[in-house]
Amino acid sequence: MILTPTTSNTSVRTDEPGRRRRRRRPQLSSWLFLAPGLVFLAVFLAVPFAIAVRLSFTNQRLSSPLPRRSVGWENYRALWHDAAFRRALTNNLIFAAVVVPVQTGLALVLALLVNQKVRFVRFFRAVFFAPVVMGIAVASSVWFLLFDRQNGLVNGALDLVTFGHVHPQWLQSTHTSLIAIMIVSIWASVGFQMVILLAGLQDVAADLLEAAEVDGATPLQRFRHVTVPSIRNTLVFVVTMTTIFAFRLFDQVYIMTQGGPLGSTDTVLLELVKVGYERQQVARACAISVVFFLIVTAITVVQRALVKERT
Amino acid sequence: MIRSQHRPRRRVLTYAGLCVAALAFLGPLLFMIVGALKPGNRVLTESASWKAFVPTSPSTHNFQQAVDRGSFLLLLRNSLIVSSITVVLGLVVNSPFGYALARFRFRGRRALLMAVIALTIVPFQAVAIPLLYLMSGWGWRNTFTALIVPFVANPFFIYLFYSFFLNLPRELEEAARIDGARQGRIFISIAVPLARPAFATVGILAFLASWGELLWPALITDDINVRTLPLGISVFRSVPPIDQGVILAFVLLAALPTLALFVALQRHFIASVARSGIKG
Amino acid sequence: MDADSSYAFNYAWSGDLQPIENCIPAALKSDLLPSIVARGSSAGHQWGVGLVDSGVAMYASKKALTKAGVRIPTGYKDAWTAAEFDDVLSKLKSAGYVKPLDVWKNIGKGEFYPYAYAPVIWSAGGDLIDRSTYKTADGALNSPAVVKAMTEFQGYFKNGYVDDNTDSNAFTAGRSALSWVGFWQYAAFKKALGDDLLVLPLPNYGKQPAGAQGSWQWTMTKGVDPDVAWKWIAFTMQADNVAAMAKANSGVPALQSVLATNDLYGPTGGLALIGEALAKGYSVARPPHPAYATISGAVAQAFQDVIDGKDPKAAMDEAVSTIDGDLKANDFYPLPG
Repeated sequence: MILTPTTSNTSVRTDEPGRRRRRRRPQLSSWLFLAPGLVFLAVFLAVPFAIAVRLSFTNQRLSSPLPRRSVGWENYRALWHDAAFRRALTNNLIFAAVVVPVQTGLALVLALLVNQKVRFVRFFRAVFFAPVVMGIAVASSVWFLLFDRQNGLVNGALDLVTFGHVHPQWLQSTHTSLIAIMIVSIWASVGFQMVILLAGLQDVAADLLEAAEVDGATPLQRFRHVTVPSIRNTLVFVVTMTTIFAFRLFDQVYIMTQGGPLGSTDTVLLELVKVGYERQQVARACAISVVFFLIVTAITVVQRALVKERT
Repeated sequence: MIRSQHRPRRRVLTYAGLCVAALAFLGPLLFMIVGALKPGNRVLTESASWKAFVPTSPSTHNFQQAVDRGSFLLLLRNSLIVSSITVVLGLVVNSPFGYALARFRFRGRRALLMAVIALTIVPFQAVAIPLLYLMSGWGWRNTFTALIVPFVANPFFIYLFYSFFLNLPRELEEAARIDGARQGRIFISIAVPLARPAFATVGILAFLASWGELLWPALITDDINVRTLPLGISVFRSVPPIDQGVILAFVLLAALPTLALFVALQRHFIASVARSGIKG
Repeated sequence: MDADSSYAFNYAWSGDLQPIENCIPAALKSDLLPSIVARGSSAGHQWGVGLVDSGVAMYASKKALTKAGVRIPTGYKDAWTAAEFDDVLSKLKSAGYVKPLDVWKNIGKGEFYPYAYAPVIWSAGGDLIDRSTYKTADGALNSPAVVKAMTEFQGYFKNGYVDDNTDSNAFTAGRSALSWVGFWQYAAFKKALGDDLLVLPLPNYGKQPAGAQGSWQWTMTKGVDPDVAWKWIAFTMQADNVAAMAKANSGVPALQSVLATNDLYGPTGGLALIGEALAKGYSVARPPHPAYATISGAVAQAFQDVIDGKDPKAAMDEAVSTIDGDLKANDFYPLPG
């Protein structure tokens, strides 16, 4: 997320007489305002993360009478050599490499379309956003049937268009399963990015566009030289968010494939659940958590650098 | 308004694009609705052709089954309990936090603000396993508490409140302060009503996230009495006898509450999501 | 506490359970099916007791088998051999069944795979773990005989004999002539096929034909007063209750006295074969061991991978390495105390 601390206008009017007299008051009550949040953040976010780091250097199990012992970097070393984990990470990377540009591009096209001043545009906006509201579990369950290799609607449509020449095995084949997951993911969440980009587009100054038109710029030139630079930060935000979502990929594969066939749709978070919950190897799952955190942090850092560059 | 000599052509192109895209989005939705009305054994056998969109011998049998066999109402109740408490607690906890950061001057304010911003990076999934470990030890598995508390305080929501209050004119609050009102009163009776858009944004975003959460319930619950809808869908899909008609009815029922809410509050939903992205 | 029996022994080992054997009245104990005692026992103690047991079978259409001209087994003693079963599949295919076999792939790997497919391993003389030491799965889960059986199993998919069964209707709609699944499908199948329905043993992969067993069971958590538990168990395990429970979910009643008069699993019932498997010891319990959750996951993954075309030897070796890694990480689960 693009968060830059803004400190402007926070310190106005400190010299006001009525304020100065009660100087101690805000000090105390501010902590009362903060206390509930601080407790929740500490107990359910900061401390667990510290524990994740700590446990990743032990052999802790979910439930075990054996004493915990320190194992150094063993969990990380094991992860590095774990073929399933590497496969999962690779899948996340491939997923991100395809979905980020495609989904952002589609979201931008949809946003441009629903930014036109035509009738029924609110209806179309709602239609494109509906899958986001429904939730991934619902979307995945429906697409699971659409992708059925024998009777699915997707293959039915492909048969019609290609006269039966293209008949992918979709979720049953290692070659196509990840593609199917990508399609579901884009379908289910492109509406979210569309809305964010739409908000960016609506902030593009109309007079700039008009000036460009008066100067004889074609629509494509206007888009390239006026619109895109204006929504640059929004685009960076959307790309970052989609990249992070790509590494968070879980719901679709949990419901549609459980990572199969042969690990072709396994993901980092699916491994996290398999290792930490099904096999109860908490320590090793904590190592996965830390690696996952580092990946997400790296993406965020890159994004912030990009945003700062020109603003 | 942009005047263009290509306006009619552009309008046709726009509609063409909108309609093609709408087909891709409405097709699966229509398939779900039609399939939910069909006998289960026809859902797939008729799905590779135009028949996928025709409710042949429609009945409400599947919905009846989803309720009876899938315990839909129990799962719906659980989801409503978890999501509503998560949203309400989230608003109660995050809004004063953001307000304090924006309005009060106290030692460590800047450090705290930086810490909140830093914490927005930590994804929940990175703390799920240690939380599972902690909560198992506390005996919190299969409780609503465990499903709710990790999602109450949210650094991003705190930041949204913070930036909203920061940009809110403070004259009204100052006037009340001169009248001698206490901080708590000023916050509740003046700042909160003015911040309705921020509350709507955070409420809707928190609701969408909580309603759709699958990973955490899959870790911390294995009891249908606390199971929420997304996990309920996942479990029900694999419990024999597997009937595709009933499954579609089940997921349609699961989607209806949020879809209805969305239709009623469309403008707010879209505005909320839009607001989540344009900060900064 | 009502626990999925797969995880009960991990709870027991973690010290969350107390043994239950002293809470079971002697008369009740002698009436329990051997499979129920076996399923609830580990490390010399009985930790759990179930009201019902379960089983898996090869359901078949008599007409289809007759049309294909294949021998119809009468019980466990003359089950099809693996080679014979291949022949059955190929003849059924020639007789017009494009996808003659349904193994309920659509249920997904979960606990169904280790439950319903593990008989392949047991029948070949293998096991999910070496039960003489409980220190390794090597040699039990990946023995040449097991790999051979898994290769047979994989052949059904490679040769295109298996229906995807996405709609759960492969057998009832007549696409498949054979359905490899648990007791719970009996009622639906009987309704669809009537007198045409046959209940057969799974094929024999070498040593002897095998079945599956196990269901939910009562366990007793630490801190529960044994006297209260005794009364509770004695109450729920009354013949009437067991019969009612068995009727409600069509499971196998856990008491021999009830089984004898059960109209489904009794000697003349439609699922007599499953009753026979449990009473005569063809059914094998999944290993009562604290590592079962890991074993189950690893075996499920191995079956999934074999179905998806992975080399059977590699799939079984990988499962062994997952299981052995878990055993080692837990110091081979030393007995508490």
